[in-house]
Amino acid sequence: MNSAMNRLFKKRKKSKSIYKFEETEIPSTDQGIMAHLDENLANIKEALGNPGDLAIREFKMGKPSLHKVAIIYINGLADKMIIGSFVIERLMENVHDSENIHPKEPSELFTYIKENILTVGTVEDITDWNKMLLSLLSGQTILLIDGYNHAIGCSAQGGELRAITEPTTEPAVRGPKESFVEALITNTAMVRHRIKSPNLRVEMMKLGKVTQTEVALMYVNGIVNDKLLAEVKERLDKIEADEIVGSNTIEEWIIDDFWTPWPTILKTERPDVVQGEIQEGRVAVFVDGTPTTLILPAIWIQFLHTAEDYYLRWQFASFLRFIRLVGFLITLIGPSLFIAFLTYHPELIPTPLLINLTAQRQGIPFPVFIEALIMEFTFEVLREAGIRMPRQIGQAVSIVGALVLGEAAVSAGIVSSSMVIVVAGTAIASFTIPHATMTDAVRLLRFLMMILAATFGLYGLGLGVIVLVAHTCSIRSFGIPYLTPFAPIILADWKDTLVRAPKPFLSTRPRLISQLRTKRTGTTQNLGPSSREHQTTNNQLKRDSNEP
Amino acid sequence: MNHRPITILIMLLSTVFLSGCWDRAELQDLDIVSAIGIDKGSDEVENRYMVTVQVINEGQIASGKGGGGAKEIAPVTTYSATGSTVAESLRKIAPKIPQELFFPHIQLMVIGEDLAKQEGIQDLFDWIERDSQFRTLFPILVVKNNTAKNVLKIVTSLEPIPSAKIVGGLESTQKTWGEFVMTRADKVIQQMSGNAALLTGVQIIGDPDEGNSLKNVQKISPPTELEIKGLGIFKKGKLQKWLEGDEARGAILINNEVTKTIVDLNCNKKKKGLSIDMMRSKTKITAKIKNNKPIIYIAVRSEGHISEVHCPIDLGKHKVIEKLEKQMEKELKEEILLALEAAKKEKSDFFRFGETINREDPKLWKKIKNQWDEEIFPETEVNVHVQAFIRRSGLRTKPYIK
Repeated sequence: MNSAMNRLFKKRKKSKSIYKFEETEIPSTDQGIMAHLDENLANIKEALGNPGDLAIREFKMGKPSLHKVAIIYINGLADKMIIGSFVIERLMENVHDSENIHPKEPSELFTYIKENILTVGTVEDITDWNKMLLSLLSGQTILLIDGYNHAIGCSAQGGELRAITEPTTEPAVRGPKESFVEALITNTAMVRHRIKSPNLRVEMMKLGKVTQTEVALMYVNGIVNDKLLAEVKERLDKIEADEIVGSNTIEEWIIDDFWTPWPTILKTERPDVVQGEIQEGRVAVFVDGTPTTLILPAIWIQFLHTAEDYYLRWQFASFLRFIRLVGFLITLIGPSLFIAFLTYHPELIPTPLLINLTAQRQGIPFPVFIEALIMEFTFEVLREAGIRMPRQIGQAVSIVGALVLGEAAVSAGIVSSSMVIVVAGTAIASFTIPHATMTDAVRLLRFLMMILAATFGLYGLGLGVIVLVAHTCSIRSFGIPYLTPFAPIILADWKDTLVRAPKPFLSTRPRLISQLRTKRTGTTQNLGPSSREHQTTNNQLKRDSNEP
Repeated sequence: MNHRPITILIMLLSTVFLSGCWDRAELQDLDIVSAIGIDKGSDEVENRYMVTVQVINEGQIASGKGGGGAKEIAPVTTYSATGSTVAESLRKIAPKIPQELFFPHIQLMVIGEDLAKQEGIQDLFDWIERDSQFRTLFPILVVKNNTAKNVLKIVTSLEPIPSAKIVGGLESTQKTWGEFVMTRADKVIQQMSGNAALLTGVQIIGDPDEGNSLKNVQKISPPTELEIKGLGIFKKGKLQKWLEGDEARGAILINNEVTKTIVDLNCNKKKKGLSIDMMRSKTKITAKIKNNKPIIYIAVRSEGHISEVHCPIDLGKHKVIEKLEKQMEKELKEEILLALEAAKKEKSDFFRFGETINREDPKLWKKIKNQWDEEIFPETEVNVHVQAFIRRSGLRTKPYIK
């Protein structure tokens, strides 16, 4: 036995792999910007591999055409209208009439063009070769002058972008109807629209060695906790990846603990959610190319909140939050409770219900657990199939699923109708959780709970829940305990967790998240009707009625 | 690569998946027992008890499946076996049934009259409390003039499970009529530790064999029916006498278990021409010691309203109501005295006056404990004081009769 165990756990000798790779660096060129224009153009073509979408426009300017100039941009990334009217046209025509058009030195001409001629938004003096390439690939238009080793980057970005549409994953009936798009600048502007404060800070950085993805950090200065901000920046700096594909890559790089099933970063596509969250002291991370914005730190209860909560009357919003919490619990332990009761604790089921359930299960060939697994698995398959299919076929999938797997399976006697009800109920309950990341976590944990319930009954289920709660208590999101404000208990923050108190009562920001400035309302609050003078008193009423 | 954590994980997982799950049972592998009946087996020790179980036939009970039409299969099935103990007899049923018996959902337990009269039931309930499968929340009834086996085989109308019918009838009787109470197992077992006990009875009206057929419920008026009837007085576990009617209600009144009932009073000259709907009643029993002799005081306070009047009487007058209240007090007192008399005659203190005395004077109780049932209780003075209140006269004051 002992030797067997030793053999089992003995470390395997590392065998040398037959597949050997030589790590090679990604090729990069750094010739520097030359004074000779033709050489520069050739170098650019070579560096980019002479692509078809590279546009180079060479022309001469000045009278008599003295200076060779070249405009370089990438088709599709640049706005040709702007380049045509505000760069090329200006350079070709206006120069003739000016007095200062015959500078001897190309450097003087360079300064003159930069300062007097180009009528685009921003103009940049570029000396570095790589920076020039990056500007070019970011959509800027590069202006090169023969005989001078500087380049001008003109901001004339354009090209086709998706228009702002209604949010699809977080729809709200009463809230604003716009959602983020892929373009980062559009997204930050949408938040800027909402917070017109000089303290709204946007910090840009480029991440990803190859992709050079633009990432923006947004927060409200004075409300955000500086330690949090420093921590976020440090984690972002640590990212050493070649490519950043959307905000999810960033999330996985900077997350506290990637073993936990719970999401510890909130994702949203709604600008109003970002507005609300950064006003509470959180940091938003925008990533160019994704409409999904990251908000951190995120705590558990946030994943049961929706933007809609703040657009409804507080009583109803609180009721909806309760519904969502129940939906969460049903999704997590609904099927496993059913399994536990039926296989281990039939004595706990009321007699008439037990008789009913037993009658349904007559002739069912599978144990409850297997039956539940089959049904849950089928549901997950259907769901996945429905999402990946084109919309028209997706409907066919759902019809087939509902008819064939629901009704037919029951009448064929393969599953009991009560199991169909439980699985369908769980599925519907899972849709009440507003954030997809949380839904996914619960969907996975549900299977774990089912296994525990099938092996140890309610005892196992109880153990599972205890372990899960303990784990949830142990994790943090950027230093904030995940179960805040329940563990640790911060009573003041409960006003906006399970219930949503009316706005005037939400006088403080969540304490752990924004420690700098927690008060967010005035000290004197006039709730209810305003002062006496404006109200009609009884005497006045009498006097009025006495008058003829 | 280091495989150790993965190996340990697989071993842990296999403890989950390969463990026996020893007490796991699928619903379809259980036979839900709805009622249990215990009869006298024979005089031999090996067959002392005959135990009958009533197993629910789920497919017949649950609606939806099977659809409409006349039922051809009985909703329940009974199986019997004999043995020297109840537990043994229950196990002996196993060869006759398709699946394992499942007891937690027992709704009723009935005891045959022969067993109750001849063998006694004092020692019968140990297994109920000892076995974790049983809950002591079902009523225990004594079958009047018949066997438990016969009661369990009667097909009942309206409620397909016979035991559910009996329990339902018992509950509504206790709620609205007050003559019989739900003698729940835990209460019965508590009573068994004393000498006297009071158990509600159930009887078969009609021929039991005719009732053991679905034809019984095909008729509008079923020839064989089950009825809650009588209060059995037990002394040292043996059935002594059946109380019925006023005696029975008096006994329940003393035990403070009446919630609602109807009391008939004389209306002017018409005998029993007026009925009071008693809504609330509370009984207090106290004991006082005088000259080393206990005296029992029973104070009853009951409230009700007039529910039916058969003679012209002006209920708007205060004096009339007062008169009726006096009459009601007298009526209730008579019922209580009847019950007391019956108890004294049987020398059975099922009102548990002994405990009241024990609370009042434990030293005296220790002295008289042994002679209490036989000698002292029948001689003890019992004072009954009844207070009755008529609160309302219903939606009418004067009756329409002139």
